[in-house]
Amino acid sequence: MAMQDTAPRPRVLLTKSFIDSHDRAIATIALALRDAAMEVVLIDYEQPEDVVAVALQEDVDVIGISFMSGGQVETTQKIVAELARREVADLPLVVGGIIRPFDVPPLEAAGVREIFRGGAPMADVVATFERLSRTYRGLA
Amino acid sequence: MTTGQAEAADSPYAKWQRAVAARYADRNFAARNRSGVELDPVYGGLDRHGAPAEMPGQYPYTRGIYPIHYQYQPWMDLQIIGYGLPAQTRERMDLLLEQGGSKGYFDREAYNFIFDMPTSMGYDPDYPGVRGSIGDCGISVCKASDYEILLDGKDLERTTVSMVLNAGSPGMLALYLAAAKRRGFAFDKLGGNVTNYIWDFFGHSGGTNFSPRGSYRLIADIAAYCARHVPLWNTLTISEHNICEAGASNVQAVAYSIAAIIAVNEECVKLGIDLDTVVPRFGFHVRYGENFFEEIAKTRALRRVYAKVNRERFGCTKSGALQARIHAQTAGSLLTAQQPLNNLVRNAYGALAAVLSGVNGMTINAYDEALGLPTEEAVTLSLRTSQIIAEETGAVHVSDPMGGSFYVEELTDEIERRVFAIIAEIDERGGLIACIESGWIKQQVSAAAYQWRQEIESGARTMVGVNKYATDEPENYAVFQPDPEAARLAIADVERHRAQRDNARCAAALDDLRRAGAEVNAGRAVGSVMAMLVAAADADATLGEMQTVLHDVFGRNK
Amino acid sequence: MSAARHGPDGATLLVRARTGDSLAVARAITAIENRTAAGIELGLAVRGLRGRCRTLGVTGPPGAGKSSLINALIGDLLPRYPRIGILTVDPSSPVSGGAVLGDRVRMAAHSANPDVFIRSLAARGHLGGVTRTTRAVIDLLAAAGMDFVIVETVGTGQSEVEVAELTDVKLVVCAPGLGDEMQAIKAGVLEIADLLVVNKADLPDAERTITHLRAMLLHRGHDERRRALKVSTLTREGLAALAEAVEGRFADAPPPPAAGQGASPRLKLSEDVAELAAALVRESADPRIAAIVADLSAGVISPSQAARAALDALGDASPADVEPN
Repeated sequence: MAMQDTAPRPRVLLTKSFIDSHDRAIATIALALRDAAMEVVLIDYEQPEDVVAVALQEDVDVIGISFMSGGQVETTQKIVAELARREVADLPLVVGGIIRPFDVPPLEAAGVREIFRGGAPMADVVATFERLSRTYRGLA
Repeated sequence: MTTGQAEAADSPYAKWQRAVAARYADRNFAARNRSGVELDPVYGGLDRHGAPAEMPGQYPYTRGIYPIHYQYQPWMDLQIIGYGLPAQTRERMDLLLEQGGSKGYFDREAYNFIFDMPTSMGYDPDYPGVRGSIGDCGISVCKASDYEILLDGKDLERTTVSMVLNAGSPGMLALYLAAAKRRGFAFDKLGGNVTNYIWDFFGHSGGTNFSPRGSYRLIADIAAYCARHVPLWNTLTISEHNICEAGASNVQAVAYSIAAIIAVNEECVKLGIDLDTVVPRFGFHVRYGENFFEEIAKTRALRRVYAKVNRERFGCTKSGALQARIHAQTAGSLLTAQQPLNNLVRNAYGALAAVLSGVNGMTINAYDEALGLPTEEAVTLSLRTSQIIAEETGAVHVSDPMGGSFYVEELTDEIERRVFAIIAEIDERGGLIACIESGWIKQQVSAAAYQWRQEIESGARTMVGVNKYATDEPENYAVFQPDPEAARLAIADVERHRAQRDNARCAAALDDLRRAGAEVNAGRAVGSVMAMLVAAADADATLGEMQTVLHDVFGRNK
Repeated sequence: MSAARHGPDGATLLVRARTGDSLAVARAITAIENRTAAGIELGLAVRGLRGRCRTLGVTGPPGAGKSSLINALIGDLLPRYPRIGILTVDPSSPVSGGAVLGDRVRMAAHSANPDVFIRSLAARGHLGGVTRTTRAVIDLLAAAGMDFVIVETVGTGQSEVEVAELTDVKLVVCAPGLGDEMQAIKAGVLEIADLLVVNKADLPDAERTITHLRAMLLHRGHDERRRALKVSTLTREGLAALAEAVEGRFADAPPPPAAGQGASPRLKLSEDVAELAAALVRESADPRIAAIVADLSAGVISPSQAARAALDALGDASPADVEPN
């Protein structure tokens, strides 16, 4: 039966800024992760730090952030700093959307685990969330 | 005219001939092609059921809203423009003008401003949490004086200003009007449009917007105000484009767009506004670039359904209230980061579909938008694409050139049928607002987006360079880098502005705005919110300060 | 806490949860919802220990504005109840078992408030509008020091009556003009309502809806305390009155029902043991259990022999007790 309700499911937080109205990518990925048996919490954040507060309450295994209209580097750096402050620096962070070449070095330096741009195969996105979740849970 | 028809005097063709003769006396719109064949500006005849075919400029406007279209007046090219601070955008505007862009109707200059996300949603640059997005992907504007920089020296009576933004629309229009007032321009001479995507949360649905009901009330307020004071201003753009970009099918997007018009009209009727005074200033923003013939058919169906709904359901009588004006934009979500030059080809086909559909305005995206903000080179190529279609291809010689095609006519009828079926379903579910609030619309759009994505994944749908004909070419394209200093400068600027203005006057104006909001919310004094917004903007209130009041009064959807 | 994050035993989690460590509370909820052995023991350790914590169930059809109402109510509740927990339940996909949990997007205003703990739960196939272990999760939140817990049900509008057994006071939320959904309310959910709330009172139809509901309440017998109230999360009209009315209902409410109240203690024990034993078997790293599984698969032993052997193996491998202090 598909609904084995005791199997620990990957829990994922997908988020984007409250001012960014482009939600096609994040909504589509949410459905793909759902269909890969994950539980996906969706929020818009006002402050980057709120992402971490929500991630802790929701006990997620991976955070995915979508950027379609700017803020890529600054927001990510703030979230990373907050993860460290809340002593969950190992909680993996994935970013996606419009990521420009000059965004990449600072994002990688911040410790982002994976960067997905438009056109990235959904299977890769799903596999990455799956893998990061298992690793974080200590199941790998 | 070479279309040989023995016509009854009341036939569509005869009526069309009379309309052209009356409206464009002494003009000859016949063109010659390369082989010297003389072309009619439009072809008529019998439709596929054997009846005399509808002609352009006639109800229900399937074939176009004018009897003569591009032969008389080409589409308006509105390349999207805007990044960083107002002064930086102004430099780009001057460049575009030099290149032959920014041409509006009748020799006006036209600018299509796009704003950064904080501005678009109505937040000032110093609002906590928005700093990383300032000046990125659009201009940062938050006060009337910003327009004095953007439009310095421009004759506003001869400048069409288009403002593309979401929930910040009411305040943004107020900033522009206040700036115009300070420079002594009369409001009844100002032309332009504000997209007013404040209701647009089921298209690109993620942003923080007004509550659905608050949105419709504000739209009615702006429409009523402008009908009285800024009569040339287009007060609402229904964005079929954004609904498509969010993943809806063409049929869904047209249906939801018409449902939005129905909801706006119902709100206006409820408030006692005469629809014939406001509806002519509503228009559409439609997306092109995915399926050539389907998009031509959807445009024709959209014009027809719009005319029928406004006449039959709402009793509109003015021709302007029955004619769907359409601004076309090529599909941004179909642009690929892989092999980005392919996007030039995609954009050209999308733009051609729009032209063959008979649209009124055009925005062709830059080919490098999937990589980041457009470079100057890419913006210029978008303009050249439009110029090539207009001036080299001959596509403009004949209106509705697809009219009479078995394929396109059948598809037009089928899309119309499906659109009316969805509208009936929305009516059954209690109307658009109820469907937004229950999440039904959002679910429909997300499901369509997801299905599309799965078709890409499975290969059932091809994206050249992405899931087929992919290469490992290293990325080596110039990408525009926004000014990293923009945020600091914009924040310092708004802080200086607050320190220097007459704060008592500004606070009083915001109080007046709040009182007007309460009145309008109660269904009284419709139009007074916009009036008080203009007064507040003139009193140096910022976009974000006005937005705070509007959010309090009209509610947020989250 | 790092690497093997779902490893810590229930006792450790409970101790940390009681200090108000929100991550520990969150991980305890995960354990309970996943019905791991640690989670089951945690649930048993906190069972029925709600103390002074008040609980409120919120149900109603989609589009009624349940999440927005809860979001708006938090402000009126916080002065009286310094720490508030909110559980929102969304359906799981019957095909994949995954879920998209989007209710808290409407509660973003409280994301940064350390005194408001919001958790999204997936129904995981459980019917009735809540999850199978929602009762234990409420108990845990109470044990972790929450003064008030709100449970928002899935919201299909139908047969979501289970929340009635879990919370002190039940709100049924509806909105004007929901047509069919209102019919669903009539069909049974209405019976569990302590208070009926007509949201979106700023709409013209609100008056008609509330008149209709009041007539319905009257028709179903006189319980004067079952009232219908109008609120608007937009204008905040009626919110304070609703908070007061909820407070009033707490005064009347019978003490929160303990789990399995009425069931025989032995029956209850048998269920707990079955649940715990099943989890221990699933998770066991004991080579004896692995051997039993292998023998069973190979047909060397019968299912009944296997079950008895597994029980014997578990008998001397129990983890530390989790007890409230």
